[in-house]
Amino acid sequence: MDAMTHEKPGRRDTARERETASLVVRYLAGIVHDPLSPPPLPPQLEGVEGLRELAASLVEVSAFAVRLAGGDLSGTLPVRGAFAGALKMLQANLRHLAWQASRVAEGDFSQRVEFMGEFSQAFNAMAYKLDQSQAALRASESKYRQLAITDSLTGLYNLRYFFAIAEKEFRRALRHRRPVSVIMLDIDNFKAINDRHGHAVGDTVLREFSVNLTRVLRGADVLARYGGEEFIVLLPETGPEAGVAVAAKLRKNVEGCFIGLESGCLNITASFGVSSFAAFSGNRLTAAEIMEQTVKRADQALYRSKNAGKNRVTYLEFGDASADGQGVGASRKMRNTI
Amino acid sequence: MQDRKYAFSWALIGNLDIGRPNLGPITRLEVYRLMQYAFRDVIERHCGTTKTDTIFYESGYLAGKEFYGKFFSDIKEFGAFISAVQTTFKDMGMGIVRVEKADMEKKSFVITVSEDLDCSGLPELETEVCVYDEGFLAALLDGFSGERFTVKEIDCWCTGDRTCRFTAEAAGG
Repeated sequence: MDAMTHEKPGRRDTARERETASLVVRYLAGIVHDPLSPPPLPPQLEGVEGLRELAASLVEVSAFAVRLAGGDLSGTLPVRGAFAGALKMLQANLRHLAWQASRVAEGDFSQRVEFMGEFSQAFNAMAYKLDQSQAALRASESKYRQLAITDSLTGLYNLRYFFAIAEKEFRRALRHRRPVSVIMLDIDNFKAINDRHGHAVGDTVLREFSVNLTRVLRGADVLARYGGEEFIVLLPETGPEAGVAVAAKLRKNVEGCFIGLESGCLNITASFGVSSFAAFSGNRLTAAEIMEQTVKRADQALYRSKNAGKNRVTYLEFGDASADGQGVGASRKMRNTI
Repeated sequence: MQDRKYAFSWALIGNLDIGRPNLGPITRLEVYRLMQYAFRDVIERHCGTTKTDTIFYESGYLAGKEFYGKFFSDIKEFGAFISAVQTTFKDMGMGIVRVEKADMEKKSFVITVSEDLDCSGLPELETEVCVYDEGFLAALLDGFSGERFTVKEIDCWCTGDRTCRFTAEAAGG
């Protein structure tokens, strides 16, 4: 009689159970090892209750984890329980992060992550830095845009920008048959101020003069430095009478203004030329041609004010060619600027 | 139904500054859950499970509709809307809202709510339980989009997940 024949039935059962348990462990380990190509259920384990379902869950959970680790956030995991739940929470967090990143890409820099530990800090730092960079860029862009359209000494619009606005305004005026006026003005005896007080004082005069003009004009009026001590004003929706009235108000205001210097007060005056366009009947000119001629007439009117003794306002009709050949070449300068 | 006794109005919330000068507006979550699950128990006994779920979905929808009208009705941009919902939910201790997917063209969303009022921390059950939240979220999306949304909870703490996940689809989408 050999040892086997003497083995008690209980021991045989225990040995068989151990063998089965060992087979279960190897089978489940095979799934964990390679969930994307799981081993088949061994025939010996077919009868083990719940094993097939457990193995299927393990395959699903493991495969889901592998795909998640590879960056695939699209999968679904129908398995329940804490382990599957933790993986699904990780997936939910990563998907939310992806959504937040897409929001940042669309310019929403307010996105912040309050989970995912160190990753959150890095993400938040990135969003904060991007926000700061964008703000700095916007500020810089705004500054350079301002520099590109303004005169550095007076802060008024420069000539290029003035004509860009004026051209649109003349087109609008022509389309809607609305009047528009232009004033050209020039500080009287500015050369003498420079010669007597120096260029620094001359610059102060130009700045103070600009501020003074700005105070009088309406918000819709467009004031620019034409060059040197010359300035130009565009008056939308303004006919001849109102245009002259505005120029007269400006002249009076300048005359009554004293510019404070270390050596005392300086009183300046300015000469003005006005022209308007309001005659739409029979007009065949383009908006650009009308603008050029209006500026030219205002320039010629200014020339007449200067010749007539300065510190005065002169108006020239749009169609008045009597002053052709006079003026300081405003329309030529306009063409060059545009 | 005529002569209704319980038609909702914000006046029913009352003036908490006057009414609770010492305790303030905050209460323990256990009390909220005690009330909600007591309601569920009794209503289920009277009406059955399906009807109970319907009642809770519709209650959530009514609450969400009122909530939208009170807090979010002037927001026009989706990102701003979600940010406001996230902030309000968090500030009022209602849950942590996150968006997993937002397809504006297909009007399809996946939204998660963690640490919510109804189920976070509950033992595992066989089914999702956040029907009230489904109705609530549906009303928020309806209010924002002007379209009818169907919201379904697909993962829940009660089914072993650690966050409640909802799909939302426009009825005609």
